[in-house]
Amino acid sequence: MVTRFWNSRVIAYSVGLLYPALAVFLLLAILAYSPASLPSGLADPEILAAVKLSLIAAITATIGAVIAGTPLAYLLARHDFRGKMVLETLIDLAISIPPLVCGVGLLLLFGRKGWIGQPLAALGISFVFSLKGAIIAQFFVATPLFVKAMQTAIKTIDVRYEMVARSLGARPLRVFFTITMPLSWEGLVNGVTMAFARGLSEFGATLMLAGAVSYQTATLPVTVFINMSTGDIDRAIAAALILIFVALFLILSTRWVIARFKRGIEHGT
Amino acid sequence: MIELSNLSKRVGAFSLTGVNLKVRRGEYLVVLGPTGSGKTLLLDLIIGRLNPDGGRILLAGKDVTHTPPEERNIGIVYQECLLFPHLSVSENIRFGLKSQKLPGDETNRRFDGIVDLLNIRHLAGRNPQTLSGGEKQRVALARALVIRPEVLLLDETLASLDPNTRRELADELKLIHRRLETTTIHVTHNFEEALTLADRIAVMQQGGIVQIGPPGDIFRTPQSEFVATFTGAENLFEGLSNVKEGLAEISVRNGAPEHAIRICSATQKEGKVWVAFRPEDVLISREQIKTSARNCYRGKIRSISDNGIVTKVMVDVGIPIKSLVTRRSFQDLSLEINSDVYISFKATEVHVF
Repeated sequence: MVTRFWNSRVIAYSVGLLYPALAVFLLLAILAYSPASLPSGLADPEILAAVKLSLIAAITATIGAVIAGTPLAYLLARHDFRGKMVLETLIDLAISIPPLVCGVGLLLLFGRKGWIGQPLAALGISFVFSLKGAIIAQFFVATPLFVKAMQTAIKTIDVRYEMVARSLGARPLRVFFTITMPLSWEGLVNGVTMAFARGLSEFGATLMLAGAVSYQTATLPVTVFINMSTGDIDRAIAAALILIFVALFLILSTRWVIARFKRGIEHGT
Repeated sequence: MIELSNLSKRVGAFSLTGVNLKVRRGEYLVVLGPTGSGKTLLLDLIIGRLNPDGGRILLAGKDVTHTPPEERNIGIVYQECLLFPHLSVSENIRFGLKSQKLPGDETNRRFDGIVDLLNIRHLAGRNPQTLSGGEKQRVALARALVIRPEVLLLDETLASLDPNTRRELADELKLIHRRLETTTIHVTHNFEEALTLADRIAVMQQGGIVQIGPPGDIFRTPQSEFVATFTGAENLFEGLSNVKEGLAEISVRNGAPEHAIRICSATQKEGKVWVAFRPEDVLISREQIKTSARNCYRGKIRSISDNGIVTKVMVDVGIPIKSLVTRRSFQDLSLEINSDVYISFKATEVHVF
């Protein structure tokens, strides 16, 4: 019995290790490719431009997601109302449908004849095939993730903390910034990280709305795609490596921030 | 001071129905009731977390039924204290003063006053997570009192403390109340707590207030089976009452009519009634003693339970009657199961409703 149990465990764990093994080999395959050309690849003006575009778009989109997502998250976490299910379904839908499809929709909406694009065009503003388009695309895809993280975080805070604060004379907005926000900071950090990571890796919707014009709208993922399709694998790999390192940096720094804050709260600093 | 008139609220399957309550300025009112009687819902309405479906709340003559919580000036202390975990003790206490934008010297004066009153000055720099249960309650009290609320709400404030801390804090609550005279509504399921603290007790059952009055009245003259049971009048029987010569004679039976016993009461009420008397008013003896007590019976001890300071003895005299005796007299009488004993209690101690 003991041996059989042990054997079944070994088998189960071996199966469980398949995925990590695959991930490791994937990273190795990218890392092992042509390391000699990497330094020049990283200094390539096209890559640098893509890094810049990617960061501008992802940071702006994340800020947008926080501003638009926080009130929505609070509403969903704290109130029951008619149509709440519809709202939640919309958010889940935005997460579930392929970004490429989101891009098609956004293009129809923001295009020259779109419901939003047409009035904006009259004002001389155009989102299509510009960095603004990339920002909109990333904002659209990243916001639902931020809302979900923030909603969960707010839900875990006893609503009576807010009640106590209000009974002490604090208006709702002050309560939100002095009580709710600090108490849900972990959700905020997670939400910002997820939104930023999602924005940074966004490809389909960006391609649709912003296009793939090097130096102008080509973010890092789009740059990977352009260069792979033209056979310039060195450049594609350089962009890919940057994406991997940024993601790694993001994961580790988030973890570090959360661990540090937690220790701070426990030790009363 | 605060007046609830015909207040009602439905939440799911539970409803608060037509609650009327007047709390005088400086009064300490305890709302007593079991879990699920609607005490918390009542607090939610008073503090303004929920809007009532009907009725009004008047605070110092002003209608605050739909006033947002931050404009009511009602303080609250929850059982779990809910100190803001990301703020220090001092910042917690100062939160309300800051919200009200009081000038700095006034803020400091009030802060000093309240931390000295509650003996928590030494905790000021601490983080809430490092405090003991009693300390947390004190800080939460300070935080609520420092804004000088019109009304203070206490939600099962003492319930989660150990017995010693609970007694200590109960004494302190009394002292603070005498000192500040803050109108207080204290919600609890603990009858002893209510007896110690209350000027008046309001008993709640299934979303309504069933009896309200000074602790002595609730204790001695419960108006319903529920109140009697909840306040520990353990001898509670149904019977038929006849009033003769200024005394009620109630026939109480347990099974066959020939086993009926007659209990005399000074409360004159006829017909089908409830009889209630407290176990601590029932005297137990080995011999039949000459006494002015109208109610004397002979019976056998059926059960004995030792509660530490006192012992509860159940004597079968045709109906089961419980008596509380001190440890000392329990030993002196050498009481045992199946001992033959006499019990007696006065007609004035028998409450009929």
